Order: sequence, then C-alpha cells, then structure tokens
Amino acid sequence: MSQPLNIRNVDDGTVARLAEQATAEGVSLSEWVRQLLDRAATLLSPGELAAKRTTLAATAQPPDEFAAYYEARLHRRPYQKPKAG
Amino acid sequence: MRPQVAVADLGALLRWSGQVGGAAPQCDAVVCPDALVAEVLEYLRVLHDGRLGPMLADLANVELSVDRFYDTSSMAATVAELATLTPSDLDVALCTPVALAAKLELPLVTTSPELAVMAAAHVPQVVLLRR
Repeated sequence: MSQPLNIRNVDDGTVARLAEQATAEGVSLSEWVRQLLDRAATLLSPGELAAKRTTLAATAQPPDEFAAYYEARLHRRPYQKPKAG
Repeated sequence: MRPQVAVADLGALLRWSGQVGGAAPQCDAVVCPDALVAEVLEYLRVLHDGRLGPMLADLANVELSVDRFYDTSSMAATVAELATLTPSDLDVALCTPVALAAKLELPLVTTSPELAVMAAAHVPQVVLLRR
C-alpha cells in the first residue's frame, strides 16, 4: 500500500539541493524524496531518542568507566573491565 | 551554535544512543563512518562479556539512532593522511570520524580530548563532551 503525500511551502533552496542529490543518485526527485522518507521512518525521532536516553539512563555505563575503555582502545592497550558490584 | 548534523565519534555515538551516560551531543542528528560499527560491536562484546543477545539488542538501538553511516573506503586516503601526518599512535579505525567530519565539513562531537586535539586542525568545529 502507498499513498500520496503533498508537502507545501518547501524552501526553493531545499528543493534545488534535493534535485542535485537525486541527479547524483540517478533517480527522480520523487523517488529520492521517497527514499529519504523511507529511511527517516526507520529511525528514532529526536523526541523518541531523548525519551529512550531517559529510559536507559539507569542502566547506562558511567562516563568515567567508558572513558577508561575508550582511552585503552584508542591506544590499542589491553582493557580490564571492572568487576560488577 | 547548535549544529543540525554532526559527526559522532565512538564516545559521542554511545552517549547519543543512551548506551553511555553523561551529556549527549546537542544536535538534531548524527552521522558516522561505517567503520564505527565494528568498534561499537567490540565495545558491546566487552560490555556484555561476549553474550550475543544483549550485543545485538544494543547494536540495534545504536543503529536506530544514527541518521546515516558513510562508507569508510571512500575516505580512506583522508584517514591515511590523518594516521600518518598526526604525531600520535591513535587507532586508525577510531580516527575515521575525524576524516568524515573533514570530508563533509561538519562539526565533530567527541568524548576524547586526544581526538579533539587531532581534529582541531582538520574540521570546522570540534565539540568535546565532558564527563
């Protein structure tokens, strides 16, 4: 199933840039915008992402603990994960 | 000024997706080089002691939060320049976000002071997220 979606008042510069992208990808402007919308629909919106971060906050790794991992990884040094508890 | 789109390094990406606590990038969307996917997997492998189920669940969460993963091979030359011109021993794969930010002329968001220093000469804006 598919349905038409009309969008009014799109900035001229935005349309021109999307047309450039469509040309670079070898598809029509409509097809390119359809692909962009399809991809956007698979992602979390900023609001959804913020809500998810709030939900995950209780179980997120503490930043200091991650920083130790990251520094070791950046320098290709062995990393010893802290013991739980 | 709050950027609309920024390139995230590993630390910024994990904060953006909520896997790691602390301040998240202040932007509307993040993009990453696809080389970071392997780094995310390595991080999750260590975090979850190699348990596949939690790794895949967290990977899906991270992937859902990224606007676009860019092909690393298309910027391999820039990565090579950074890896050889910069007087550092930083892991090449973890430097790929710097190359992407340079190529796309986008801000880089990072949690690494070392990557921030490296990027300063190559990208238009570097945002270092504090602990």
